[in-house]
Amino acid sequence: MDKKTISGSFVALAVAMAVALFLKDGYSANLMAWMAIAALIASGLRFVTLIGELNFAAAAFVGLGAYAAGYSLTILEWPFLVSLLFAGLFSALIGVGFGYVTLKTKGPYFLLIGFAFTEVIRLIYTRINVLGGNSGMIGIFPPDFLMDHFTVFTVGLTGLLIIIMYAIEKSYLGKCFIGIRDNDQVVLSVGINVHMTKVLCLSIGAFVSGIAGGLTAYVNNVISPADFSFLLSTFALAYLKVGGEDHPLGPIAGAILLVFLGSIALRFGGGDHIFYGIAIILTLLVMPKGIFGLWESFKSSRKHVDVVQQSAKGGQA
Amino acid sequence: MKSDQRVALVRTEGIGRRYGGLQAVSNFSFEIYPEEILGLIGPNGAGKSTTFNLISGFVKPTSGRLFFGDKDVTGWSATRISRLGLIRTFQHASYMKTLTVRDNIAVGALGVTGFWRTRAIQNKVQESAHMLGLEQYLDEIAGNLPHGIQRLISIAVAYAANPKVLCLDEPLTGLNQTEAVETLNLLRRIREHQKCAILLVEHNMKAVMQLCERIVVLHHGQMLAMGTPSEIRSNPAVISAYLGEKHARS
Repeated sequence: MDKKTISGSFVALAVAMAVALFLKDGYSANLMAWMAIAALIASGLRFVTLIGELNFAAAAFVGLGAYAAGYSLTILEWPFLVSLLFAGLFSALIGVGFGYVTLKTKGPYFLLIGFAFTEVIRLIYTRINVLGGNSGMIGIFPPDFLMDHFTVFTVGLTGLLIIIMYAIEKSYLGKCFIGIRDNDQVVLSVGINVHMTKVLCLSIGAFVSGIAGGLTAYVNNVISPADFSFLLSTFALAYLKVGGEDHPLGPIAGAILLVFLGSIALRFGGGDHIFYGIAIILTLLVMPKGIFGLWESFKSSRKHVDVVQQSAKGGQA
Repeated sequence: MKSDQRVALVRTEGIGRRYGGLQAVSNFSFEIYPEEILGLIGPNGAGKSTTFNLISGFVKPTSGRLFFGDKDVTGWSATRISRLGLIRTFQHASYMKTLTVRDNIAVGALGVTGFWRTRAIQNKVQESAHMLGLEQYLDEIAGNLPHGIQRLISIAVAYAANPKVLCLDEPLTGLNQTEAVETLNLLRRIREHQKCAILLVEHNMKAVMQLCERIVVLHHGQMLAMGTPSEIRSNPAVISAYLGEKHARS
């Protein structure tokens, strides 16, 4: 990761936090926090696509994080930051076990296992009384000193995690992830433990999803099993596809756009899901590589025009 | 025989692999000695690829034993065997298509260097790219390059992993005569520079006869003959396997 990208992303993050600081009314602030969390979940989903897998268990890890944060704060009465960290670590730990067992499969098989895992975990919450069963947990509040500016904190933390994920992607570990996606046999043949590397990638994704879940719990103050069904993974996939999965800013753009559209749709009385459906269909038809795919092809076509013009000039001279 | 006094780097003892009712390789014993170039040839379906998979740990043997030096590595995983220095390539596309050539070679080095020793990785990339003459392609995406270059990338990735035994699965397929000759010279240079043994599976007989010091012939999953190129060329059993009985007698 070069210095320009690092400084650029931190400036952008500071601007986003400043915007969050000036949001006065509660709904806008919450909306921005939801956008940030959605961007984090979608970025976590994108991170696991580096090894070529679509992690439909992302919703389960978000849920595990949310319940870990809720349980450790309201019942164990742990301090806020410890409970948030616990949310991430607990998800990551489950992610290690889940990945170790399931990452022997690939592609559609892995996707379906993730889907089933999400639903099983969701049903488990409904059967545990201490977690509130079907009605979930309430009273998950951030500490007093953060109460007024929790959106700023949320935006800052999600941004930081997204930057860290990007830094990992650009490191040699990230190259190794992509190598596994392209050709896992070759990576295996040069003495790299492909299976454990994939488990590591999934666990990092699970950690990030867990933090996103913890933040969800603190922003909404209330969590219930229904919040963490497979639909959450589907939405995350929608953010990723609409924004463009080849670019790290893609899931952020997709999340901001679709969460915003969803909030408008709510005014028409529910049925916001139809907006996601339309957005996905339109994206796949008009810009199959998402918003950032369109941007990249626009940039490269301009570059191409420049090259053609220059060579034409060269021909005349 | 002279070669028997040297200490083998890789040795199989009656190794075999059965797939259901099909005995792909049976009771196959051979050795790879340090710094030799050994050819493994045989008609299609003779068990060459299975042998490759067996010694590199990609397939577990159903009988026999595999030794690396004096270590019994039978049943070891591919990762552990390749960490000992037995590095293989694949017949098709032994590279990562969306990564640049630089990152391809870097991934090859990661098993030796680990993920975080940036300087060591970069040095290895430079060394490997220099060895294979890929310097001008370092920042190109591997999938966009011509077939001949992609073949070189495959070898560069394997070279970056510090092989003690480099196993190449048909590295000359699809190359024209000039490229094939260049690749042969390259393999000699790699052997001298890296001081590694090379095991070569190849259908291009001319190349195999030119390059290899010893040749092992497989037929129907069993060893048919072993010897120098000239011994193999005049071996009646080999001629009969390749060309039929009539040619063997004449």
